[in-house]
Amino acid sequence: MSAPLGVEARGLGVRYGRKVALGGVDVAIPAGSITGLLGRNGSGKTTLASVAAAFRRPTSGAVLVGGEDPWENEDLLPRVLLVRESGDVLDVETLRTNLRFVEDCRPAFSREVAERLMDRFELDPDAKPQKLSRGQKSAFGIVLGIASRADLTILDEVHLGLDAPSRYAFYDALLEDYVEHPRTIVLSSHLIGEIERLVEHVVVLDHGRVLLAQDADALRVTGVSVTGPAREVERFVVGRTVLGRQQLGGTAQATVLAALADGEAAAARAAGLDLGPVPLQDLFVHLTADGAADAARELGRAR
Amino acid sequence: MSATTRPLFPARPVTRQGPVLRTAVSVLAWFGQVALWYWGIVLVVVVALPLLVDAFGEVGTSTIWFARQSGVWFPFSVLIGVATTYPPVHVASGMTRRSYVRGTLLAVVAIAAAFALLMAGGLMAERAWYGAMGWDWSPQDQGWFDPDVTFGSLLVAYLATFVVAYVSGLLVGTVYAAAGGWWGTLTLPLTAGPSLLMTVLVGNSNDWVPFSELFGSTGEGTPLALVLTVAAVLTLTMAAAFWLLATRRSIAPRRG
Repeated sequence: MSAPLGVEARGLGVRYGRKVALGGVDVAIPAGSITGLLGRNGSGKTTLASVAAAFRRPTSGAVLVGGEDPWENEDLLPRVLLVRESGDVLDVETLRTNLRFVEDCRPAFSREVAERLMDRFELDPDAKPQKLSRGQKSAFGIVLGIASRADLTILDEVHLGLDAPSRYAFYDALLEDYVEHPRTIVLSSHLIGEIERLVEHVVVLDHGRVLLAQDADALRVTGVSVTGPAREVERFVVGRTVLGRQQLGGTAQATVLAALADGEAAAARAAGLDLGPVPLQDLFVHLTADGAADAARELGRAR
Repeated sequence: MSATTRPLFPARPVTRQGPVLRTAVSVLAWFGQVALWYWGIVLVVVVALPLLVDAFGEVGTSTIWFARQSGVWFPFSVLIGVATTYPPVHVASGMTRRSYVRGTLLAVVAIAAAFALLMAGGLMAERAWYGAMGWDWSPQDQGWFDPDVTFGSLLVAYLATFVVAYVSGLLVGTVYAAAGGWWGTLTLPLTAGPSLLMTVLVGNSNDWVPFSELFGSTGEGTPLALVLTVAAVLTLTMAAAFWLLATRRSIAPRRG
C-alpha cells in the first residue's frame, strides 16, 4: 500500500574524514507535505538527503523513513527517490531508454506525466544525457523526479541551469502532480523566493545543525514586514529584533521578528504603515548570517 | 495529456522483474551492444588474416587463439566501467546494493559462458576450416590449446579464465570507485592479478605449476582439476571482496 513517507532523524551524525557534515541532527519531516530544506552551501542539506535515500550511511545516530531504516531496505527503497541536481542516469543511453529503465524500477511511475513533461521541457527522447545542456539535464532530472511519483521524493537543487520560465513550469508541474497524488516532497533550493509559495514546512540547516524546523505558515507570522514613512518605521521597530532594513528617501522598510496583536497592527496601520508577511528569504538570510543564532532561538524552535 | 504529446515508446505491459534479474538483464543488454562490435571485428580478422597470409606465404597458426587475450581483457575493461558508473544509477533507481552485486555477478557468469562457447566453438570451427583449406592448424604455444584438445576441455579452460577475469574487472572498478585512484592502483596486484594468473595457468605448456602432480599432472599443460580449483578459489575470494566493498559503498554527490 502506497502512502506518503515521513522522515525522522535522531542524533544523526555524518563525518567525511575530519569534517563534520552533520552533527547530531534531530529533525522530523512530516509525511504528505512539501518541505523546503534550506541552508547555505556546505550546511549539510545534500548529506541529510543522501542518508534518507540510502546513498550513504550515517556515522552516528539514525534516519527513519516511514519508521524504517532505509539502508538496503528493498521494500522501502523503490518508494524513495533522491534526484541530485541533474539526476543519476545512464549517460550513454538515450533519454527514452533511461525512462524505460526507471519505469521498470519505480512502481508508481507515470508514463503519461513523463511524456507531458518531456514535451513541456522540449527534451528529445533520442538524445543522450551527456549531450544535453546544463539546463536540459536538470529538466530531465525533474521529469524523473515528478513522473516517478515516489512516496518520498527529494529534489536537491534540481533547478540548476534552468531559465526562469522552465523553473516556473517545474514548480507548476510539481504542485499539480502533488495535488493529484499527495506524497512527501523535500525541496532543497537556494531560490527561496521562488519556492516559498510551495513549501508547507521549512527545515533550515546551518553548519551541520538544524537551525529551525517549523510549519511555514507559523514561521511567516513570527515576523512582519513594515513599510512606510521612515520616522514611523523607526518608531515601530524600537524594542523589536530587526532582521533587515532598507530606506529610499523618506520611505523605509523593515523586517522584524514580531507577532502583532490586533491592536498593535491597527495602531501601526493608523500611523501609515503597511504590514505584510515576512519573506522567507529575508528570514533565511538573517538566520544563517554569522552570529544570528540568537534570532533563531527567539523563534522558539531552534535546536 | 496535451494534443502535442508524443508517445515515448509503444505502450507495453509493465512486467516487473525482481531487481536482481533486472540488473542482470540490463547489464547483459548494455554489454551485448559492445560485444556485437567486438565479435564483428574478431570475425573479420579471423577470416581475413589467414586468407591474406595464404596469398603471401604459408598458413600454420590459429588466429582465434590470439583472440583469447582480447576475450579476457576487453570485457574486463568494460566491466571496470560498469562497476564505476552504474551503482549510483542503481541506487538512485530505488534498488539495493545487494541486488546490484547479485545481478552483476549473474551477468558476468552469463557473459563468460557466452564468450567461452563462442571462443571454443570458434577455435573448433577454425581448425575444421584450416583442414578443409589444406592448411596446418596449431596454437602458438599449446597447454590447454593443444591441437588435439577436445571442445569440452577448451570450453572449461575458457570458462575458468573468463569468469575469473570478469569478476576481477568488477572488483577493480569497485575499488577505484569506492577508495579512489591511489588504492585502486596499489591494489591492482590483488584485484587484477588473479586474471593474469589464470591466463598464465591455462596457457602453460610445460607444467611448472607447484603441486600439479596432486591434480593428476602428465607433465604437459596444467591439469584441468587444478585449473578449476584455482579458478573456483579465485572467483569466490574476489566475489566475496566485491560483495563486501560494493554493499557498503557510499554514493558520492553527483555534480555537473
